[in-house]
Amino acid sequence: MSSFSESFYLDAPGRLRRLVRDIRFIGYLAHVIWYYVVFGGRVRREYRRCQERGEIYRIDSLSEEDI
Amino acid sequence: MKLRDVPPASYSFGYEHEPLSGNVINGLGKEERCRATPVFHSTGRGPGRPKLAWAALDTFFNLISGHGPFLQVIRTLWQRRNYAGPVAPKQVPVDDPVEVAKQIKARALELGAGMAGICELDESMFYDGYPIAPYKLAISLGVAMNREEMEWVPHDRAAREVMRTYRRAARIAVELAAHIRSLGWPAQAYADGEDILQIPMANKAGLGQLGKHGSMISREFGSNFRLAAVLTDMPLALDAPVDIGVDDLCLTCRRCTIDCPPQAILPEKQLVRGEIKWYVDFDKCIPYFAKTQGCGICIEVCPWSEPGRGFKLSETLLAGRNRPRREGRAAATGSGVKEPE
Repeated sequence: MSSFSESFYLDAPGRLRRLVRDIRFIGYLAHVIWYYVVFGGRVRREYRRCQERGEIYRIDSLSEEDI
Repeated sequence: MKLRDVPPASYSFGYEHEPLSGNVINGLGKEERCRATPVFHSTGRGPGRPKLAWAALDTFFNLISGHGPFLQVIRTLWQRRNYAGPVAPKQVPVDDPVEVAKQIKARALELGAGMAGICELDESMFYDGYPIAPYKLAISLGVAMNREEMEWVPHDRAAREVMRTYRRAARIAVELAAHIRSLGWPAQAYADGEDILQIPMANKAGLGQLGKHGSMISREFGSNFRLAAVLTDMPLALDAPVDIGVDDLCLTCRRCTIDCPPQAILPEKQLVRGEIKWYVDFDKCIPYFAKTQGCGICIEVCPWSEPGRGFKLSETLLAGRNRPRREGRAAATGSGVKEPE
């Protein structure tokens, strides 16, 4: 997996280069938003359910690798 | 400052298998000096980067955040793509590093920073196992938070203000780094999302001192500010660390230790990676931090954070050193701060 800097930082000027990077970056942002809305929504619902039932929501399986 | 409706330090979430104590990872009680290891907040991605021991709680924290703070995170990420960039081919020579440092700091203030200081980079500013950035200097930036919003700690409204401030700090760092690069000198912004130790940098650059609550305290804003930095090779005059009297107050003041719901703030300095310093119990602080989406009680109840109080407080504390001990402390602590028995 390449790092954020390798993926998105520009080391040379150029409008086309910048445009291509920005389009790729929008794709990355869309993935982050999708993850927060879909997977995060599931986690938030389950967490709320646990709070209502007085149970403990186990977080062990959550991993930043998915983001 | 009066706290509103503080949730108790009890949790409806938790690990089935507790990870290694964050205090052990942070090097609490460790005698030899070494670089810090990231435990909680980190991008945690990319080659050579170790997986965080408390990654699951970090992910949980990110996912249960409200829509407001999340929107700010997205806007900060949008800034982050420009943290680095191409350097202008023609380099403007720096004949007078003192004058240029003044100009760069003035530029940072124009862009919206509340404070700026310059220091030499050293290894302690980078996490163990993470690459050391190839720059010589750091321009540490302090960006003030809106106190009225922050008085809502530990609620969502304050969390939104924290993320708004990180976004502003990122924008300021990005624009300052771009300005330096336009002069032909390499520079990179290091704001939210970059794995770098901002506190040692801010300390060395003279922005303030580390407080009992584990955050920076400055004369200008108390602890009511966030940090960002620009790393560069541009030759600039360095600032020196400052002594504004933080220890004089923290040694006797108990405001943050009393108001901290999980009782995470330790009353005395601790040995951490070969250095005696203020330390916050990670294992107690971070679950509450996650539950409340960033807590922030300790930095807002801190007497230094009261608007307009820092300069006078510093003056009184420093003057108090020349007076007999009890008289000096009584004058220094002021209202709302108790003397120990």
